[in-house]
Amino acid sequence: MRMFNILRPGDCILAMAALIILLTAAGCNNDPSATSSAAGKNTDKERPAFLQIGEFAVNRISPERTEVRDGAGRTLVLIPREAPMPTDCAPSQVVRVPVRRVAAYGAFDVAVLRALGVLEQTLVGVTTPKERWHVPDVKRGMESGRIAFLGDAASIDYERLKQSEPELVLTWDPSIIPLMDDLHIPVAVTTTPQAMCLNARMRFVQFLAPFFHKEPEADAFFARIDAALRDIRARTAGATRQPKVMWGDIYEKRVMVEPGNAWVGELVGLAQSNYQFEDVFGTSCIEITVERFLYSGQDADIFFTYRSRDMGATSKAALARLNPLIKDIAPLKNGRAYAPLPHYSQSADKLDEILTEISAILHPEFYPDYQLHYFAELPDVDPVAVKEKSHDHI
Amino acid sequence: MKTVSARLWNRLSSINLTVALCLLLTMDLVWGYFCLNRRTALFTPLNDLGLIPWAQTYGSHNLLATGWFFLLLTLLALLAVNTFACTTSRVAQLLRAKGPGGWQRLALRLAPHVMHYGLIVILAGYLCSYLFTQVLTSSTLAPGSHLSLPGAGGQVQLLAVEPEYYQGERLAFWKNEVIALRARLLLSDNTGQREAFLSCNRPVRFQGYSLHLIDFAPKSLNGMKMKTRIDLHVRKDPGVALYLAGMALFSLGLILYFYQWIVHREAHR
Amino acid sequence: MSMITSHTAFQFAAVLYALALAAALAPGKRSLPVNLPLAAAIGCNLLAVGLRCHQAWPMLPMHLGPVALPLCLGLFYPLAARNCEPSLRRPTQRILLAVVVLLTALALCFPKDFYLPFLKSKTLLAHGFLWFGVVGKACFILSAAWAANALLPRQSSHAISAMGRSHRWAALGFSLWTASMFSGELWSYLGWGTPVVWEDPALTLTMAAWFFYGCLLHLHLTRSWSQTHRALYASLGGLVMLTLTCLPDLGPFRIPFGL
Repeated sequence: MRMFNILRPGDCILAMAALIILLTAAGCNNDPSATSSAAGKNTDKERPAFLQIGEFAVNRISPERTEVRDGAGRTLVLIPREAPMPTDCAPSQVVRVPVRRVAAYGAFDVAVLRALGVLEQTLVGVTTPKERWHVPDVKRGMESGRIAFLGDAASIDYERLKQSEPELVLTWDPSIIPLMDDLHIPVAVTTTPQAMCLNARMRFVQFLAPFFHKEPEADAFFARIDAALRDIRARTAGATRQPKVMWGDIYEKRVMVEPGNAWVGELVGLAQSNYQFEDVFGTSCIEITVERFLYSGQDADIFFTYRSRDMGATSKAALARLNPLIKDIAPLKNGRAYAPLPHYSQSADKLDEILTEISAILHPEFYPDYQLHYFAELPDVDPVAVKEKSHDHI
Repeated sequence: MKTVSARLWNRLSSINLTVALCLLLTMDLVWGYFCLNRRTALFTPLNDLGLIPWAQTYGSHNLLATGWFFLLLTLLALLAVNTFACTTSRVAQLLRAKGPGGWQRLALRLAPHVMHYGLIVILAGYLCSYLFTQVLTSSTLAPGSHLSLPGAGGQVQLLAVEPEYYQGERLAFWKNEVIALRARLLLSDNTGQREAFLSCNRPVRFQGYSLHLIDFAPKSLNGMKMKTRIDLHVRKDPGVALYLAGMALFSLGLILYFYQWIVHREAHR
Repeated sequence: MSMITSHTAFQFAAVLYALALAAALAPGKRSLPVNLPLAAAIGCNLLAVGLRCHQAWPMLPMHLGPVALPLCLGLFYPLAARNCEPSLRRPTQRILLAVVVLLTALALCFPKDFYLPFLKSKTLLAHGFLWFGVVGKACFILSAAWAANALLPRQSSHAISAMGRSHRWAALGFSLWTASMFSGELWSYLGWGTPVVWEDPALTLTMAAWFFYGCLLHLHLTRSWSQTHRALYASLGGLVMLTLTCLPDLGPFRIPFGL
């Protein structure tokens, strides 16, 4: 206590300045995307009791009980199939594992099931019709009748869902929770209020793994992605030019972009490039002002649009026609623009390939002869338009 | 024994301790800013998980990023003790030497101490809130569906969602978006039924629980087709009354302090 | 388009504030060369703030602080040094104008005006949270300016008077800061069910500033802190603290006079 009596103002000010610098440095060094150090943990014999994956979490209370926190902050209790029903939670919160029948709303969830190697055995319902699937396992499952089309996400056929007898529903839409609660079918919300960071995107399999007892597969998947990231780091380390990248689009007058905390934003930074919306924080597909989008577009080199070919992203000219507002951004005038191919959104299980492809787009000099699989570079004008133009000349 | 306790009391009520604690709290919170900025997802569960479960999981597994928070708790506890001891000593002195001017003057002189006690009540309220709050996170209701409140025998049913879409020109980005939303709820318990309206910043209280509207869908007339729903946080928070009382007490102290200040200035003139 | 108008108005305000500072630093005792550009700057700043509010009302414009703070300081300028002799008044006013110019430069170079307002901010408590905070911060800056004035070498009675004013502004700022925090806590409680929403890192800096100024208001009760030390704490410490509280409202660098 004597310390406080001999405390002098000069010492206080000095100590305060020193401590602020020290603590700030400690706070800044605390990098959550340090995936390599986290990857080391996977080699441990003993699995961590508590694992945080972005806004998801897995808490192993005992061998007979694991509690997980889903993207909406709801707690689900995982218990062995033969265990008695716990009395301290609602039946709709209890998931008997390993889960044998799953209905999944999103293509991302389906891809993660595939990454875990449980798609063929467990998937019983989806909300995308067969003709829009690019995943052979799902197409085959739907043809054989093993996987049911449950109706569009906004108008689910609950009778069909009930007939599919899922033991778990993976969804981005919480509106089904009340009905599923009545049916005692647990629901896990797999999207989060904030965009998933790169680490969370890579580790999301580890969130779903305990539902299927597929932890080793999840660890292997994570290790694969981690290796791809290391390769990207190593290849692009010597980059002398850092391209400026923007990812988003304008729909009428509404601007949506991927924020800097999203996995794409982090990846761009990791691959020795500058993400134009690095400072933007929030949900995936966040809405910002038109002025900011146009300002960031003034000196960008590469533009990734959300739109696919069937949504009109066939060329830079087509994009400019769709949104006259963006016709003057640098990537459309003298840079490069890319659109996702239809199977991109269903390929989260090939995350390593997607990350590598994005890196190859940013730094083609380090990936000679790379063939794009998930994105298409947009030509200046539509091929048809060129043809018509040449006809006009004739 | 008496001298030991008296000495301890004196040291706990030291103004130097107050200064040191305030400085440490300032530094700790600056450190906290950088940690919270980089690891927001670590702290978000504090909103609903409660202090102990959070400390046992997120807190203890990420000490480098959460250490500042535990230090904050310790410093706040010390500050509460120091403030109590210091204020009580001073109030006792003031009460003993009431002096001229009567109760009105005394009340004005007590103003800073009212603020100090207010702070202690606020801190106690927060602690109570983080230790004992029951939260049902993301309880979703669709029209017609209901929610049972645990242990209370009450039910909340969503009767209808009444959105108001923005149709003006001033907020171009808000065109056709929901600018106001009212959820019509039916609250039932053993004593009967009543209707209540829930909106964004207007929670509904029922059987000791407060229902807060966290999210809803659809948000737009033209956007992605979404089914109608509201997401609620249902909370039973025994700390609310305490920290609201603390805020009221602190505000009262502030008003008295400024009244005294103005009176003092007028007297000087 | 109107966003650009708000930005342009603020650009004009920045230039005019700089002119007012240049006039204040120039030798001579006439106040018109300072007051004229200052009044015009305040007008432009008011327009910039008004437009931002108009584009968001009834919701809260996001990160308005760096644009609104110079306005508050500009409006406080005539009040800052009322009833005191010129030799005491002028340094404070100069410091104040320098801070205003610095703040406008920061707000122009690092704008964070690209977030859209959100529905939950449609409450008077949210507006109270913003405006009490902005006015409170302006009072803290005035307190720091007076404390810096007290450090200038001159008669001790001047220093005592300057420190008295610094203390009063700090007390007023502390009250407004507290009102801002209480408004924010009530808003959080009504909107999210908890008085502290652990999602916005800025809340820690708000609390840090509260403890910093709480400490300042108690320093005169200790025997070990002399007036000079208190002045140092209020001026330099205040500057560091206030800069930190501005951090969450600043975005990436942007060319200040581009469109």
